[in-house]
Amino acid sequence: MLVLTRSSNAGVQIGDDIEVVVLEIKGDTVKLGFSAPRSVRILRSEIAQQISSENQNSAVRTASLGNIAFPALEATS
Amino acid sequence: MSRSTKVKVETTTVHFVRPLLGFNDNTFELAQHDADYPWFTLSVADADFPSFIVVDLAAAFTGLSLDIPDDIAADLNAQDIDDLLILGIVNVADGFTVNLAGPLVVNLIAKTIAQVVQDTDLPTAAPLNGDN
Repeated sequence: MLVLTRSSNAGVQIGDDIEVVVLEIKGDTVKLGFSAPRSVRILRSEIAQQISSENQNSAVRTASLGNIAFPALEATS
Repeated sequence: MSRSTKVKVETTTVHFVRPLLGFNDNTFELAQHDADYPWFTLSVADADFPSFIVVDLAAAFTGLSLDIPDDIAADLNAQDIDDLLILGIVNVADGFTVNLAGPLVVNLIAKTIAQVVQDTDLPTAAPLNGDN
């Protein structure tokens, strides 16, 4: 992992079209700003890992779909 | 979000405009499960894994508010909100829970699909027919 020290309002350029800027440092919290093409997905690491893990836990084999009993469903609020 | 009318979907090949988190497959078959609305299956093309059970969130949850960013709507080539079907991935191993934090948005016209991670505190394992 590349480690860089940056101060407030300083940035990092990644490739030709992605920039990360340190907007604010307050205590142990850092506010970051991102400029990137819309095709680049930017997510908090813990959320990306949580969703990825849930996707993998939800995946089943196509051959097993016929063995699953689907319950009757009423909308919940 | 809610829907009073049922959606009929023919088995359709859909393409992820951005990969599903945790997987590299992009082309899936979306099928209605034996006409038992609102269940659908989403199976990778030409392989036995992965497949997902998904549910129409508009039918399964009332009062659910989801954000679809403009950039993802553009990637899906969405021209009309009525062309979009919002699906939740179901975890059957966990007692039929639904991932509300990462719903799938399908454009039935353009045959495109994306997982839209919500920047809110929605749960990844919301029980169906339970408290949300």
